[in-house]
Formats: sequence, C-alpha cells, structure tokens
Amino acid sequence: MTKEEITLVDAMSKRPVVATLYLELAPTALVDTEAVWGPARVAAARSRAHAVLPIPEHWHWNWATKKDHLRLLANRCLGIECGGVMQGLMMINLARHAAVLDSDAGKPLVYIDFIENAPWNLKSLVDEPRYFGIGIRLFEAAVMLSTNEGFHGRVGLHSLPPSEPFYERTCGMTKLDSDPDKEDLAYFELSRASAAAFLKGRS
Amino acid sequence: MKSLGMTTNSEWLLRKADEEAGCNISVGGLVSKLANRPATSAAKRLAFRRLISLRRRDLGLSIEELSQMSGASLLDLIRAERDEDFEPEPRLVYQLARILKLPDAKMMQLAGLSAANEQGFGDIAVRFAARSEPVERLTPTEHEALEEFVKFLAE
Amino acid sequence: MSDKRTMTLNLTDAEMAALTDLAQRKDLTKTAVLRQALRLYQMIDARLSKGEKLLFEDESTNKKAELMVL
Repeated sequence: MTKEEITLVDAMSKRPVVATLYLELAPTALVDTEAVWGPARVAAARSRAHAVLPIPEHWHWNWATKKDHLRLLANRCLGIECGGVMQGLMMINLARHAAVLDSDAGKPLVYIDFIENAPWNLKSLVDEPRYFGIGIRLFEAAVMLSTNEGFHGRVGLHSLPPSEPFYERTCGMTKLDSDPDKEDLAYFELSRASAAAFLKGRS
Repeated sequence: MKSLGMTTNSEWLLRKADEEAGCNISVGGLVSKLANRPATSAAKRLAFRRLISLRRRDLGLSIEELSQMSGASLLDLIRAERDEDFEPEPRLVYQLARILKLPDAKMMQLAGLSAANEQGFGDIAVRFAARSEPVERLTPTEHEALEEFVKFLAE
Repeated sequence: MSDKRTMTLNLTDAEMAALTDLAQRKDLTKTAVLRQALRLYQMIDARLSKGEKLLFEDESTNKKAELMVL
C-alpha cells in the first residue's frame, strides 16, 4: 500500500506528531475503521446528549458500506493513521466532476465525495480532542493528488453547512451557489490559480 | 515510488490546524438522511414498504423469487418491506423498480433517496399507506388502491 | 500511485487528432486523457451493467435523449 510519513498536531501539547498518510486504502481498511469509529461515535454522542455544540450532521455515515466504491478506478480512499489508529478518511472521485469556475470550466478535478475526522478528534463530540490538522492534511493531499494526476491542483466538493468556513477560509476555496441536485449544499471549488496559491502558502 | 509531496513545514501546519481546531470538515450529500425528517416522509417510506410488498404479491412473486431475480439478499428484501428503520440503497430501489415495473424516479422519492418535485405527492403517498394493510392475499380494496397509486406514479 | 506498466498504443491520425484536441481543451497530458477515458468507461459500464441508463438532458428544452442502454 502506498503511504508516506506526514505530521499532525497533538491537540494537548500543540506539537507536531508523526503520522502516516495512506494514498490508496483497500476496502478492508474501511471496514476495519468503521468497526472502531462506529461505536466511538455512538458513545461520544450519548455522553454529549446534553451538550451545547450540535452533534455532527454526518455521523450516520458508515464507511464499511462505501468499500464497494473502490472497485472503480475513478474512486480512491485516502487515510491518515496516527498512534496505530485511523484518524481521518477521505473518498475522492477522479472522473465524475469537471470544474465550473470560469477560468477552469470543463476541466477535470479531484472531487471529494466524503471526508471524516475520527470521532475523538471533534470538539462537538469530545471535550478533549486528540489530534488537530486532519482536515487540512487530507485537503492538502487532495490538492497534491490533483496535481500529480495532471489536474493542476483543482478540487471540488459540496460542503455541509458547519464546514463551510473551513473550506472557504482555511482551504482558500471559492464558494459557489447551492446545488439543488445535492440537497442544496453549497458547491466549493479550488481553481488552478487558488491551488497554486495554497501550495505556495505552505513554504 | 513517487511521494505525494506533502509539506514538512510545521509552522504552516500548526497555523492551519489551529484554524481548523477540531471543527467539522464534513462534505457530501447525506443531509437527507440526517436532518430532522418531516412527518410526511415517514409516511412516504411506509408507502414505499407497502407498495413493494403489495406489488410483489400482486405479481405472484415470493420474496425468494424476487431475491433471485434482483440479486438482492433475502434480508435486504425482508427489511425493505417490513423494517421502518431500513434505509434502502439506491441500487436496491432501482432493481425493485425494474422488476416490479414501477417508475424508478418516483420510487427513489418514496424511499426518501431524492426530493419530490410534486406538490401533493406526499399526501397521496400517505393516503395509499393508510389504505393498505398487509394481509395474506390482496383484498379488492387493496388491489384497487394499488392500481390507483401505480396509475398515479406512472403519470 | 501503484506500480505502473508501459503500453505502446497505435492510433490513427484521426484518433491522435482527437486525443491532442482533448488534451489541449482539458489541460491534460495525452496519457492523463486516456486514463480519464478508462475511468469514465469503467464507471459508465458498471452502471449500465446494473440496468441503469445513461441519459443526456437538455435543460433548456427539458428533453432527455437516451445515449447508451444495455
């Protein structure tokens, strides 16, 4: 399995910790991850039943049911493991979507179908998250994958409302209209130019 | 093997991770399964269960036969007809629509997998659900209700 | 990302012209165009095999025309 060493941030100490980015997870990895995340989500949600922050909107997802997507070349699942446990998963599609922003209209991009942080990393589910930076690392991986595939860093996704600030401000994506075909979720796109700026911002 | 080229710049990571800071990063169109469902959609799903059950029986098919024809598991088919918590995958709905000769787009709406375009669709589905009670054989009323509803869906 | 294998491809002039045109319009290398074509073909074939239909929709006329059906 293709993988590389990266860093995440330990939430308590705010120091970098070594993690592994997997570029092409096998279907079994999704099943194994769900077996760990599923009960953790339920337990965390129960203990937060009276919490002020809302329970995450996607928490019904079951990654085990997504394993069949990986039969197609166009689908790929990336993951970040730290401390021997999967901390984040991202399912992308390489062929189903094209860019809509004027400068790049009709050109291929990496579309993020699903992305999730492990339940113990979410402030809405636990009082003390374990690791930070999973979202930005997975997003960075999507941009790099897009570059390596010849798509010049273009990325697209439909964001659930609570995540919009992250994609617009932290990731530098352009927010476009709500999409009636996608339950009125707002569509976000990272153009070739914005991707270049994002990557340059890392140095 | 070529690496992806992820940055090793800790300062960038700390800054970005701080902005992200354990917040939600969710994407994807599963909102319809997650938001508080309006009352009519529970009735629509009931209508879906009743519809596939009655139609199957009307066509003289056992669940086993339907399983063989569709490739769906017996458990999925039983749950699709009886379990109010069961959320059928789009693929199952399409297969059922094909074999039971029902319009697939409307079936997707009944199953709660896509939004209904039509005003009153929910009301008609509720009426069908209310009029159809599962029994061993179809009564003339059930048969009539089924025929009417199927005719409506085909419009 | 996985290990890659090399293949030699023989194309007619028309095929090469189409490939070049697509590469230019999509801002891709020719290899990337062919890889995309393979992904799309597999994706479409998978759904057609399940009995689904591939349709194009003209939003201005609200007309659907069948493209491919198994």
